[in-house]
Amino acid sequence: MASASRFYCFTLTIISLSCFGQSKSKLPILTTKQEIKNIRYLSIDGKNTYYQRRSGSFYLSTKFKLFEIIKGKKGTEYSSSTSYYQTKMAITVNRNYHTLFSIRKPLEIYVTELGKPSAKYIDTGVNPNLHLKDEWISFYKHKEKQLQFSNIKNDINNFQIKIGSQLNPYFVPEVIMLNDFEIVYTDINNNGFPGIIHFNRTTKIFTSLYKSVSISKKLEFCYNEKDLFIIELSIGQQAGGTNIYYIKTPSNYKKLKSKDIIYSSKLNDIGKMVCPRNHQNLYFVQNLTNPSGKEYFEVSKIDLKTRKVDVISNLKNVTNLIYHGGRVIIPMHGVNYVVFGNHELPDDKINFETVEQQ
Amino acid sequence: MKLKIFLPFWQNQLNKNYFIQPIIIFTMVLSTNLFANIGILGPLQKIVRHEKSQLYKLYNVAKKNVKQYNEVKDIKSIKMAPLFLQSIILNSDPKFLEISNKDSCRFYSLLENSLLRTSLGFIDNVIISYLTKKKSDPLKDKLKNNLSEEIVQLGLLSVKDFIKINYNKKCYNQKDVVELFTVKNVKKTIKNIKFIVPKTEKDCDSILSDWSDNLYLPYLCNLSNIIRRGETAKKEKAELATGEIRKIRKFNNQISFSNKYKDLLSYFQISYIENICSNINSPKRFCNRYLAKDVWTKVLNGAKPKYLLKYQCYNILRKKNLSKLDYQNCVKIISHNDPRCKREGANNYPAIFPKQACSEISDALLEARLVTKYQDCPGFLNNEGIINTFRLIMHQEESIPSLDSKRCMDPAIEKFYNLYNESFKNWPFKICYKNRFQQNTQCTSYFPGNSKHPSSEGSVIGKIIENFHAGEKNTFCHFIKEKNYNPKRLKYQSGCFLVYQEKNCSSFNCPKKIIQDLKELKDIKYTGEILFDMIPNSFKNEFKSIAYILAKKYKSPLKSLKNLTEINFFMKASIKNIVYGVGCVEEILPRIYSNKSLNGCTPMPFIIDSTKNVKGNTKFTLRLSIDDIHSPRLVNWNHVFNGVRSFQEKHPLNLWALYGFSK
Repeated sequence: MASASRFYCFTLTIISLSCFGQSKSKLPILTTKQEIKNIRYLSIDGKNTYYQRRSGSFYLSTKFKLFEIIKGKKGTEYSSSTSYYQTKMAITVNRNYHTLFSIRKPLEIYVTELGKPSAKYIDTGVNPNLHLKDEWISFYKHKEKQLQFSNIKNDINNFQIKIGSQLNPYFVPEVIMLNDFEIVYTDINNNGFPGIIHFNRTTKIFTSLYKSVSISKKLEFCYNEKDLFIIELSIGQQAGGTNIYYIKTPSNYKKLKSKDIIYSSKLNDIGKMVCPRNHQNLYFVQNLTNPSGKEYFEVSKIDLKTRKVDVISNLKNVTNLIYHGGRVIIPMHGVNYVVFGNHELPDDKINFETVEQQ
Repeated sequence: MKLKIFLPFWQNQLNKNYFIQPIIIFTMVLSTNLFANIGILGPLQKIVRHEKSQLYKLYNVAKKNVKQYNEVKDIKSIKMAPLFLQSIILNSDPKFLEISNKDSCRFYSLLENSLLRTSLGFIDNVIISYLTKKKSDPLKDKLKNNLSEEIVQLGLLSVKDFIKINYNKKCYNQKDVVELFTVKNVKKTIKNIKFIVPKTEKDCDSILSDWSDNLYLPYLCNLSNIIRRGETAKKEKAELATGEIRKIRKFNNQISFSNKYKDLLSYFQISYIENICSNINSPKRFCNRYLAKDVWTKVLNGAKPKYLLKYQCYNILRKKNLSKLDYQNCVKIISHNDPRCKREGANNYPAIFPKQACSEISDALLEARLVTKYQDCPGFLNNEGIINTFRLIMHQEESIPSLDSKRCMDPAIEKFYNLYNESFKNWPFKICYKNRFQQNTQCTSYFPGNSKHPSSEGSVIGKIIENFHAGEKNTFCHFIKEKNYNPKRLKYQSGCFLVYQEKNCSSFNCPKKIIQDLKELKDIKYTGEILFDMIPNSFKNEFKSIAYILAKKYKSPLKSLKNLTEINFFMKASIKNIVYGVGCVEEILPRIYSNKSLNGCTPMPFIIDSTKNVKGNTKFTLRLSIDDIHSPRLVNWNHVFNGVRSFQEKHPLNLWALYGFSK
C-alpha cells in the first residue's frame, strides 16, 4: 500500500512536480509559533526568535518581550548567519530586495549579541562570517575586490585583504581565521584556477597552500575552530568528482599542507558542508545519481571516526543545507527538515499552579 | 591532382555511365592520332599534356571561323568538336559528369552553368564541327556526276548560342528552367524548392538521388559558385593596390553580381546548396554535416543560426573578421571540448566564471531558441534585472545592438531606458543643473552611457553645456578614464570630457569630473537610483512591473507557468516561445552559491529556451542573468523548481515567478 502511494506520488511528480513540496520525509520538521518564512533565527532553546515583519523592520522576541532591532521600510529583507559558537549573529539588510536584483550590491551588515535587543552597524558588503569565538567578522566588498576583517570589540584592529580574482566578477572568497594573525582564504588566479592562500598579518606574507587542477572546481571550507574541512567540488556538468579533505587542529599553516582525504566521489556533489562543534559527524549534500543517470541529491553524514558515509534524508532533490541555532536543517519548498538538533518548540507555558503557590 | 581524378573517373565512367561511355569510345576512336603518337599505355601525364596542346591547336584553327547564332542555327550536323568534348571529359569535375550521364540535356545544362571545363579552363566558347559542302570544281563535279563532297568544318560558337541551338532542337523543358533562374524569378523559384535535411543515414541516399535527378541542380550550383566568387573577389580586392583600377572594376562587378543572389538566399539555403553541389556523388559527406550531434557543425552547414558560433569563435580565435576557414578551424577546436570555451572572453565580456564547457554549451544550444545576435556583459552591469530584460527585448526584436558606444553594457541600458520611458515618464536618473536664465535648478532625464542617443549621459551634458556654458552647437561629452586624460595634449584642449576613475565606477554609479575646454564644471549633479519591479510586487502596481510592460508591448500574455506540463505545452505551442522567471540562485546553482541563513535567498532572473530529457532527467537550457549570453547551461528542472519555489516564499504576493514569453 505504501509503495503504491509512493508510486502514485512519483507518477504525479513527472506530470507536476508540485508533489515534491509534499515529499514524505523520515526527517522531523522544524515547528515554530509563527510563520516560518518570517523567522531569521530561532535559538535551540526557543527563547530567542529573530524575525522580520511585512512592515520591513527586524525584531527580537525574547522572554515574552518584543524589540525592534533594525528599522526598515516595506520590502526590506534580512538574512542572518551565526558561527558554531552561537554567541553573536551577523545580519545583512537588503533594503531593495524586490526592486534591485543584483547579486553584488553591497548590503548593510550588523552584528548582534544573541538575545540582546540591539545591533551594531559594521559596514556594507556581502557574505559576513563570524570568526574566533565571534570576536571577528569578515565580509567581502565586490567593488573593491576586498576581504574586510572587523574586530567587533575594537575597530582599530580592522584590516583588509585584496582579492586577485579578475576573471570572475561574481566570485566571493571563502575565509577562515586561524588566529588573530593568520587567515586562510580562497582566490582565483589570473588563469582562472581556484586555490587556497594563507596570509600572515605579522609578516605580510601570502603563501599559496593549494591550487586546483581545473578551472571548473570550487573550494569551500567548514571550520569549527577545531577541525577544518575543505571540499573541492566540480561545478560543471561534466563529471569531475568531489574530494573532502580533513585537517585536524590547523593551528598554523604548516599543518594545512598535511591534509587527509576523508571522502572521495566520482560524481559532482553539491557540498554545503556543516561541521558542528564537538560533533563526530560532517554533513553535506551528496550526489546519489543512479547508474541509469537519474539524478538524486540527499544529505549524507560522514562519521569522522569510522569515515563511514550514511545517507540520512529521503527528499530526492536536496539543494541546500544550513546550520542554524544549533540545528542542521534542510530548507526545502518552505519546509525546514531537521537533520540534527531539536525540532520541537520547548514548553514555555506559564505554570499557573506554581505562580499561585508563590 | 588531375591524375588523381583521372583514373578513378575512367573506372567509374566505364562501369556506370551510359551516356558518357559512347562519347568516350567515340572520342578515343577519333583521336587515334593522339594515342598513336604516344602509345595507349604511355604515362597519363603525357596524355594530358598532349591533349592540351592538341586542343590549343584546334582552338587556334576554330577561332578563325567565329560563328553567330543566326549563321549556324539551321545547320543540322552541328556538334561539339570531338577533341573539345574529350577535353571536357578529361578535365571536368567527375561528380558533374556523373549527372550528365542522365541525358544530353543535363550535359548542356551543366555547360550553360559553367560547371564544365576543358584543359584550357572555363568554357566561354564551344569549338564546333559541322558538315559543309566542299567548294565545288565544276569540271570535277561534272566527272563525278554532279555529286558534291561534304567536309567537316571547325568553328567557334559562344556557349550561349550553342546552348540556344541545342535547347531549341531537343531540350524543350530546359528552356523553362532557364527562365526560372533569371534574377527576376530566382527568389520565387528558391522559395518553392524544398531543401530537405536528412534526419537519418537512410535519408541521405534518397535525398541525393532526388537532387541528382533535379533539373534545377546545375542552376543552383551556379548560384553557389557566383556567391563564392563574390566572396573571393572581396578578399582579393582588399589586398589590391588602389591603382589597379581594371582589376578593382572586375572585382566590383563580381561582388555586385554575387550580392544580387546572396541577398535573395538565406544562410541555410546558401550552405545547403554548397553542400549538395560539393557532395552530390557522396551521400556520406553530404549527410555528415546534418547528422552531426554537435551544434557547431550544424551551424557550419546552416542548420543552426550563425550567431551561435560567431561569438564563441570571436573569443577563441581572438579576432573579429572571421573567414569561412576561420569558422572551420574554430569548430575543429571547440568540437574537441577545448578548455578555451570556459575561459576566453571573460575579460572583455565578464560574466560568471568559468563558463560552461564547449560540449555542454553545444548540448544546451541544440534546441535553444533565444535569439542572441550580440554579446553583452553582465559583469559590467550591476543589475541582473536589466540584463534579463535586455535579453528578452532582443529576442523579440531580433536586432543587433548599435555599436556607437564603446562600452558593451550601454546597449542594454539604452534598450531598458527606451522600454521604461515608453510606459512611464518618471525615469529615475536625472542630471541637475542651474538654469542661469530662470535662476533655478532644473533636471533632465538621462541614462548612463556614451551612445549618441539624445538621452545618453554624453548627449544630455553636452546639451546643458551648449545652452548654459557657451558650448558649441551639438556638443557631445566623451567618456575618458582619468589615467588616459592628459590636458596637455591638443585633443583635450577643447571640447567636453567626462573623466572618471575606473575603480570607482559601476554601471549606474560612476562619479565623473565634467570638463569643458579644460575647465571643470561643478554645478552639474547626478541624482537617482534605478529601482523597479521586475515582476509584480503588489496588486496595485502590477502594471508598473517590467513583466507587465513586456507582455503589453510584445503582445505576449503575462502567463505564469505552474508546472513542467505547462512549460512543455507552452514551448511546444511555438518554436519561438521562451520562458523567463526569477528564482533563488542558491537553489538553481547549488554547487556555486551557498546560503547560510534560514529562509535566505538571492533572487536571480533567468531565461529558459529549451527542454530536453537527459538520462531520465528533465533539463532546461537556462541562462542566468549573470551567465554569458553565449554559454547557456543545462539545469535540472528540480533545481529550477526549488529556486522558483523558494523565491515564491519570499515574494510579497507569494508569486510563482515563471512566465511564458511568446513571439
